[in-house]
Amino acid sequence: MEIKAEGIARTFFRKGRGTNFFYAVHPTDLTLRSGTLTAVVGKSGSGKTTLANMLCGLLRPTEGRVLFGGENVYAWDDRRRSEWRSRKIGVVPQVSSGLQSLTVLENVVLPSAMYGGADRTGFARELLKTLGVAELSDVYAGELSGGEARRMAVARALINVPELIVADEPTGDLDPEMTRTVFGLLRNAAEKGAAVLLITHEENAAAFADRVFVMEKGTLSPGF
Amino acid sequence: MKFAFDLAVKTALRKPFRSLVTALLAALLAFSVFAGGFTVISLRNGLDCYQKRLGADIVVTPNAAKGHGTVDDILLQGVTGNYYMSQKEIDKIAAAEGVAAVSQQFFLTSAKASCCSTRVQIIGFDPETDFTVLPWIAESRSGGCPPGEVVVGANINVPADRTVTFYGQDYPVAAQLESTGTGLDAAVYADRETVVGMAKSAARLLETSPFQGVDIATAASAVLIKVAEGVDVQTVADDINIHVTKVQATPARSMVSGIAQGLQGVSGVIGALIGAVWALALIVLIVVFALLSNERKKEFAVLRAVGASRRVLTRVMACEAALVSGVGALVGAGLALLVSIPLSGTLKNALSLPFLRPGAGVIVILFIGALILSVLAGLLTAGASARKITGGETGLLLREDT
Ligand SMILES: Nc1ncnc2c1ncn2[C@@H]1O[C@H](COP(=O)(O)OP(=O)(O)OP(=O)(O)O)[C@@H](O)[C@H]1O
Ligand SMILES: [Mg+2]
Repeated sequence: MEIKAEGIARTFFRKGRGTNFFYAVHPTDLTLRSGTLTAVVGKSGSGKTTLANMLCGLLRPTEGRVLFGGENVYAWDDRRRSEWRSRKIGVVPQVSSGLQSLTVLENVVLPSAMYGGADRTGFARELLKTLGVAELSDVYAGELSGGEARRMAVARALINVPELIVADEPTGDLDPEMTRTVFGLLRNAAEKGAAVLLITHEENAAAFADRVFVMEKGTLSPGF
Repeated sequence: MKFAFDLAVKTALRKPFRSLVTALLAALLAFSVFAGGFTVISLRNGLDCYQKRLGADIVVTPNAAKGHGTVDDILLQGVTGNYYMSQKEIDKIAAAEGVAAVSQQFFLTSAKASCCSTRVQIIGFDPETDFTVLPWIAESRSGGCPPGEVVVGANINVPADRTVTFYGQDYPVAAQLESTGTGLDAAVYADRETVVGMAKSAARLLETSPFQGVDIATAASAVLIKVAEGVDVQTVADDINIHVTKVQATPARSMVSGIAQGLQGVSGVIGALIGAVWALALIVLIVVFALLSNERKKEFAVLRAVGASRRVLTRVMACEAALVSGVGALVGAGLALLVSIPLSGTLKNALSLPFLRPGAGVIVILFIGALILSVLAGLLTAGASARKITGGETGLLLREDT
């Protein structure tokens, strides 16, 4: 399995003064293969989140294509793209909150329940335990701290054992030890055959990654 | 679908403020539709029934009745009175051009009677010519109204021994009539001979006879007229008013049209009220949804990120809106039902219009209609706000909650 970005770019209009049309991400080629963990680092505002969202079907590129199994993901209708995201992709959004009216456990199994999959409660508990938030399983998501919510989102992204994992700063609010645990989980997923895209500011991420890219002003280049 | 339903239930329960506001407004909508609809339908029913019961094209009453309680008052409100015209006038009326059939009625006001808290109007009809009371009695599926017995309106309390006493005489109650929502319900009916008999006992009992100079054997309180096919009712009425002195001929249509006008006025007011309630409630709903849209945005962004299609989002949202506004509407319409039926008497008096409660079938339809309309309103406003939120790309939505 691989997901292939061919010349994807995204432009935005800024509503403020000055030049208001700009490239958040310049045309970029990137292929994510199963079994590989790819890390992307870069300054704030360099376009990392924009790139990640385009890769997982959440943001339509203004140029280029995203191919999955040879098919252009953005040529699909919303329903097909959504179901594809639900079954094949695990997303940890940068601003990762959950549904506040559900418990942590319910939030974690959300992707598996959406299209009527098997019951994954057991696996969810296991993940929450690994991430050190087992005792919060039955707490409402609205009551979590930033770091706890982040870990819930990581568990949620892994629940369907997806083929592609896109984690946008999944360790933002975590201590070094928990950061290592999360990276370990992602590494493990890659070992088991997932393609992983990890966006991070952590310097030690390189130790877990197969390759590292640097994003700078919307341009991706191999780093380290 | 099960996913959407489960999620909707959980969200509805754990977002009490949002649910409560939506439910309350839906309740208000359903209440206004049911209560308003109930009133308008009852009024229309009353009018229809009154028109049917009146059964005549023209009603002729003695001039003396004017101002003291016209036939309109007697029939509609149950205002009672004793006014009579003589055989001479009756003959002239019957002879008027265009008159196809006449039937005279003899009204007598009871003294306080055992059956009734107030004085009642006793209406004596002529069994040989009657075309208004007998069909009505026939509808009550009783054995008719034999001489010496009475038939009572729906609002009269029938004593356990099924006899009523007027001026010292007992009269068996042969039947009770179906409700019309008008003053006719408060009257007692008997054939003319029986009522004349009552009048004679009254004359004996009362110190000053109300029948000074009246030949009660032939007098009439009202003459009901059916005009011949193709003849203009107004022309016949005008003709009688010109040629017969001391009487007043009123086309039934104009009596009814007065009511119809009143009804139109009341219906208009009710319609305007319902409109105002709806406009207000919808505005509040839209504002509330707009205020809550940030919360919604977060929910939808999370759902989208984990793979909910727009269709799934729509389902979740629709389930929640339908559930919450459904419960609210049920409460609102139920409350309206509970209030409307016991209060219909008060309402009737307040409106001074014929008021006849619709049957169970109509009430059920009205109830369901109120539910559907209110749920639809909840769905549409929720849908409009959801559409606005999900219209954009999730990638953009996801950033907005920072
Ligand atoms: N919807 C938008 N409208 C206008 N500008 C946008 C929009 N989304 C992103 N941008 C701009 O595009 C650039 C890249 O944004 P992006 O979120 O991809 O950065 P990032 O590398 O993820 O930053 P960080 O490390 O802070 O998360 C930024 O300059 C941002 O202001
Ligand atoms: Mg970012």
